[in-house]
Amino acid sequence: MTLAKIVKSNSHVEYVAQVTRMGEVDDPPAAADYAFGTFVAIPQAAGQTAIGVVFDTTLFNPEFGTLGPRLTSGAELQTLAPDQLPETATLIGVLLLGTKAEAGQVAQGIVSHSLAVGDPVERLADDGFKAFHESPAGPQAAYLPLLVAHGHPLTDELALSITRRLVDVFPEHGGAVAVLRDSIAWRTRIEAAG
Amino acid sequence: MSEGLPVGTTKGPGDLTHTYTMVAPDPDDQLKIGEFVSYEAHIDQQPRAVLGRVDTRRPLKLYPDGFMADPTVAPSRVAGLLGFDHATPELYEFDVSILGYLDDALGFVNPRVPPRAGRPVYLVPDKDLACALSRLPLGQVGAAHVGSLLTREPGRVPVTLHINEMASTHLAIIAGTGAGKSYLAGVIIEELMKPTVRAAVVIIDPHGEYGTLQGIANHADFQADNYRARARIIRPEQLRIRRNLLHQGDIFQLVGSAVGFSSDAQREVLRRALRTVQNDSPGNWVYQDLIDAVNEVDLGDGARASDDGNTDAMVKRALIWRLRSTVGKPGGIFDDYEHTSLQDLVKPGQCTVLQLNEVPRDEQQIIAATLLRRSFEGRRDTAKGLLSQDDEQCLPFPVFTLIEEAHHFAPAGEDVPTTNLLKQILAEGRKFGFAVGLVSQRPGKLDQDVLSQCMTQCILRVVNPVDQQAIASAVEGAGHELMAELPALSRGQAIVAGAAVNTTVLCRVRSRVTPHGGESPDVVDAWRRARPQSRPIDRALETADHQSALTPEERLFGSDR
Repeated sequence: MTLAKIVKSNSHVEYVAQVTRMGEVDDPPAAADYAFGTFVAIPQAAGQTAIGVVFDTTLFNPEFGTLGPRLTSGAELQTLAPDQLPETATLIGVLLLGTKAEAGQVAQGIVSHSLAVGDPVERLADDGFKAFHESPAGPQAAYLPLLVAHGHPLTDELALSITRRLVDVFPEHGGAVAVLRDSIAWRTRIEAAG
Repeated sequence: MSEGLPVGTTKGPGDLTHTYTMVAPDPDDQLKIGEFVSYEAHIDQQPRAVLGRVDTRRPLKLYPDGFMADPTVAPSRVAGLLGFDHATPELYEFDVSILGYLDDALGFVNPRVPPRAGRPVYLVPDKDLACALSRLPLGQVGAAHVGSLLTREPGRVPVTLHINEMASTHLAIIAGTGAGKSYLAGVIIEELMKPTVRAAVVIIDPHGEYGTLQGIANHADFQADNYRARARIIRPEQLRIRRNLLHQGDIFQLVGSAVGFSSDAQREVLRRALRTVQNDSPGNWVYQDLIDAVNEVDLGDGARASDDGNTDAMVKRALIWRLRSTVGKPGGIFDDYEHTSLQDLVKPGQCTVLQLNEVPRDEQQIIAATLLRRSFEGRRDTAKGLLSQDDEQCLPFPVFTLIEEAHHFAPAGEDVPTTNLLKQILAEGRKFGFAVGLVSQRPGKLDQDVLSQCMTQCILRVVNPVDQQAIASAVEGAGHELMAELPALSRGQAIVAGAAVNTTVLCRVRSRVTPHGGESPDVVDAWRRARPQSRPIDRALETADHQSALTPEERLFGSDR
């Protein structure tokens, strides 16, 4: 399912995508489809896929704050059909976490090539999430230090949410992931409040 | 002196002028405390390998504490989750004491300047290390093989003592109970009895731990074409010293130190009496002659009370009591006629073990004092050319005397017959080829002057802080960092320092050829064997208990009614 399209970037790893709306697709995504912490895939050339995560959501409404002039009363608005529709949009922030090659090789961390405006952003299915984190030695989330170091107010919580999901997806390695989760939780919750 | 890949990199000067710091990941845990490393420096236009000893080890980089929250999960596994899969994540900083480069003539020469930062540091290869640590290589005449370097695999770097140095500037073996001090002493004695050395050894053995050395007589290691080492065990009842061979100083020391003179008058009476018997019957007087001479001494006014209120008769009576407690003691080692020749006791290729384990301590001190004095004087006078071969005290060869429980024979703050004698031997023995080895488990109770004059030290595990302090203050060669290792040493591991080695070294003591005689007894087994089954007295007690629980009627007619 295509969730959004890349519309701009704030850095080499941080992108903004506009969520597709009714009219662009028959079945536009619901808010739950691009929720905080959702993993996304952005197909690239040569069968490579950039993998990212939704770390922020903003609502774009250019009409907000424009209070007049009012052309008709509220009751008559039902029958008024102006040519200019209000352009609002939902924007999601996507942090790139790595790539996955067509053959399945995963590279976590900084992605060497940037995305392009208009690149479709797709939701990464659960098996895709698992495949992205699998390594011969067990689950791997080598991008987590990058995430934590990003500095956005929500990325600590995002790291925590990812480690929680990893515990569920890799129950046989849950102990190691839980230690990491607890370590992040301590830093982001206890030390941050202390 | 550098082989293979470097194990670390110099960081800069250390806190002390003779130290530097080094940074290393040490993935294989090679850089143990006490390990030897080297860096190359150009000194006088020559490349030199400058050796150093690792003293301390501090972590620079470790896993976060939070990674160790689950004991079942290795922190490396958590790090692996983050894509950190380095085999050697930790990094350590080491303090290294600079020993210097090895000069054939001068030994270790300190370059007087620490290495610049960034120099590669290597482990010193085994072969080079063996040459550097020990003054003589293994197998060379005069080298006593006591073990191998603790930081390397057993046997890879042998540690030897320079016997000439050890047996001329004295030896101290210090350890807590059960740390292996008598075992190590046995190893050294074995080395002294080998065909290449053939030493004359006397052991003063208050606990009877050295009887097993008799095994050397039948072991091939102690035999050669014209040589067979011998260990002779002497019990106190086998030892006799003729009283008239004792010097005036011997008798004064025996009486004075063992029971004490209560007044100057007693000293004066004894002095006159000894002069009388030695003038009247030189070399022939007997104990009764001495007593008679004491009784005949006239201090001028037999009825006059001395300064302390005693009359001459009382002084003499007290002195005779003191003589009877020491040189005149019935059944003691002093005799009017029998005499164990010093030349029988002390022979090259013979280890004489004087077992004193059933003798009270004051008597042990008297026996040790007498034997030490006579053998030291014999050796001294022989070296000076004052004695001929026919003389009973003539000892025309160096002598090594090992004294177990040395703190009994030179206790700190206490005057016993052996203390001053030991001080004299330690001070003068080198000139005459008379050395002592002191073995003690309480260095804190050992006279510090005595301990500090033993120039070769073998220190095993010591836990008592007082004893550690005593060692630190008395042993110059061992650094403070190695002294800190004392409580951490295991049984059979020793710090060897001083004149008989090139530098202080952590040593794993080698296995003995002869059995060890100082094992702790199996007390549980002894108890079990002493009371294998319930005995009749127990059954009687059980019957009595049963009877007391019965009513008077049951006692009369039985409890079955």
